[in-house]
Amino acid sequence: MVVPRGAAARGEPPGPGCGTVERVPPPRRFGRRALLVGAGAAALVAAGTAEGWLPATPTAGAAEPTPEQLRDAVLSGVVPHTGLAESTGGLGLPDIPRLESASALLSTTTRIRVQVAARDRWRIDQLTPAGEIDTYRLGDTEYLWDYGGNRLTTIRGTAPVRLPRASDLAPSDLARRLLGITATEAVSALPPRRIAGYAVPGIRVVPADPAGTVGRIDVWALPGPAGTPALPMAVEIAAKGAAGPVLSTAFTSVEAAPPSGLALRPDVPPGAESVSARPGDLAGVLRGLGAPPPPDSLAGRARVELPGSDEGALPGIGVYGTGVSRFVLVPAGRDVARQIIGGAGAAGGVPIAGFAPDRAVRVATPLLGLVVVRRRGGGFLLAGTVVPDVLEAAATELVPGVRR
Amino acid sequence: MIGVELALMLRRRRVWMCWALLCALPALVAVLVSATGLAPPPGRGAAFLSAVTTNGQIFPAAALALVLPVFLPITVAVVAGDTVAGEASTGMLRYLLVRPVGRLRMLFAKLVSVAAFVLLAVAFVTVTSYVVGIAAFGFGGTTTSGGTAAVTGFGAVPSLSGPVIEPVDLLTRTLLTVGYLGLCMLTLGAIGIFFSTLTDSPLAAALGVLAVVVTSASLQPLEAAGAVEQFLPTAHWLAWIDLFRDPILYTAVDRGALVQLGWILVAFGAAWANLATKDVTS
Repeated sequence: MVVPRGAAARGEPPGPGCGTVERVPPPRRFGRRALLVGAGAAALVAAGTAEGWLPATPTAGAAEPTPEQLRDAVLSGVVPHTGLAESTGGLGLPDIPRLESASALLSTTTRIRVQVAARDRWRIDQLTPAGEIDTYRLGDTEYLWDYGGNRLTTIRGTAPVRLPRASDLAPSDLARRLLGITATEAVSALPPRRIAGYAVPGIRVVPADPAGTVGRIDVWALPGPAGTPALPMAVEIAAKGAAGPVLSTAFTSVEAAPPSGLALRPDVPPGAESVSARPGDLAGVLRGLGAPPPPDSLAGRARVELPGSDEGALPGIGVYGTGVSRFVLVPAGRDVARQIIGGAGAAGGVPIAGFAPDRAVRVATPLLGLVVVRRRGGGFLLAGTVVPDVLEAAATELVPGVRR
Repeated sequence: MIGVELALMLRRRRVWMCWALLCALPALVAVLVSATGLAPPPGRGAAFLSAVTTNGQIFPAAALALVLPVFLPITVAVVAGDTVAGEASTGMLRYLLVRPVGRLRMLFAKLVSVAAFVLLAVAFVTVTSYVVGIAAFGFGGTTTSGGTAAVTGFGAVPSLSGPVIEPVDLLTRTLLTVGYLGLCMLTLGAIGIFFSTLTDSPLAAALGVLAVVVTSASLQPLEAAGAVEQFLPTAHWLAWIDLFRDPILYTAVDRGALVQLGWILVAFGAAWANLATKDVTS
């Protein structure tokens, strides 16, 4: 820009020798337009984060329930609902051969679409940028649609013990499971939290078992009219001594209305494969075949009676403990056990006293402990939400001649 | 003014070159996958790419997923970075502003021109990859479950959830995808126009846009950046995949569209605020 200076700038006629002009940079300042744009941007950010800073207001028409009433309301039934949830796991599990998907589920963020009509009629999808894995439940039959595999698997019956899957991390399902197995524990109130646009009251359960690793279980549930079930909206699980949750799941959007019936019916597209399968066998996954029956107690903890375990549905598998302080014994093949022990070093695995270093390893995360032992004729895996000492004691009991 | 800008854009050889290259990349991938039969395993590679061998009609979605992370942003950066800085670098800007045209109107015409470029780019990739997909992989396969043999047929593809998307539905979803991705790329276009008002160098403006893309993509997986993640321009680029689920999941698309609109407003506003008071010397 050509800027006149001196007399020309003041509007006076140029004097003798004043006919030259000089280029100078214009003054840089924040004008009104820039301030307007800045204010607009700030307003947009404020609108986008309103969910986080708007004060939570009580749900209209619903009386504030006591913590015990809220827990009972969650356990009393299922509220039909559809929504989108996100779970975040920070368990930091090592890569375990054949169990990678379960490890990833508990160590990463998972998008979950939930469509629930009733306790035995629902569909829960694990959404990924590359496809989705959908689990349908219709009566006593489960269907598993895997877009990547282009396959629909029909599974009749349910396995009492199986690997975790995305449907287990849906807030409503996880909350009911956790509150169900801690029904005898004391419960306290949490401040309401804004979730998916609702102000939702919360409750906290602090498990009393000193040998358990679960420090607290926080559940936020949306109460309905008196006498009707509450809809769990978020769950957080924290380890003992930890400030933040190790596993959390919450709805990002939810509607308390049943899904369309069509959405709950699996469909096999042309070109896709349709197969039938038995409920997942955990021991089969780890190639722990031909294992002896599990002992009635381990590390001073009684075995939990599971449906189907008497009919040989769970060869060699046992679940021990009470409440949320439990661990599972799963037989594993020698090769699988060797692979896990070999790879456990990178995940912070340490040898177990009394065992040779290449025979047994312990991996302890804040919430989940894992002990893998390789022995003649096969190995086994112990995993659970108990302190490592309990798992090591159980491993010692299972291998004759080992002393800690 | 808008007509002039559109005509100018359509006359530029580099614009047609960008469109040609965008269409060529998916075609090359289709030829390679078809010739070797080696599609990425499920869960790896670009979205939908593992499924194209069973149904070529899904290839447009795979093609969009292929060009979205890098090639589409580069072409948008080149075109948007040139809008104002290109005029300035050739000394045309001051003459352009001498005409009785307001600076805001000129900027808006530039934005419309960039919008037309990105929409046509996404549309061209979609159409050409549909043709290439059919030629390379054909229509859908038949059931293998022992039931009645059935072919997906013309215009129908399986959704990510399993049920087949019928032709009219597929067209609607495709148009929504084109519109959504056009909006995402227009965000980069608006940012490019803003950078273009800051400098006389089109290259510098284009590199500025790419710097924004790289920064955004780098922050996205960072847990420490969780508070700003939802506002990053690249955070919602893959939300269009939800349009191919059954039932359609609009939540992420809606949120993504709002974020992109916010970026367009702010970037265009910043460009206007800068150019309106700028000392144009070239």
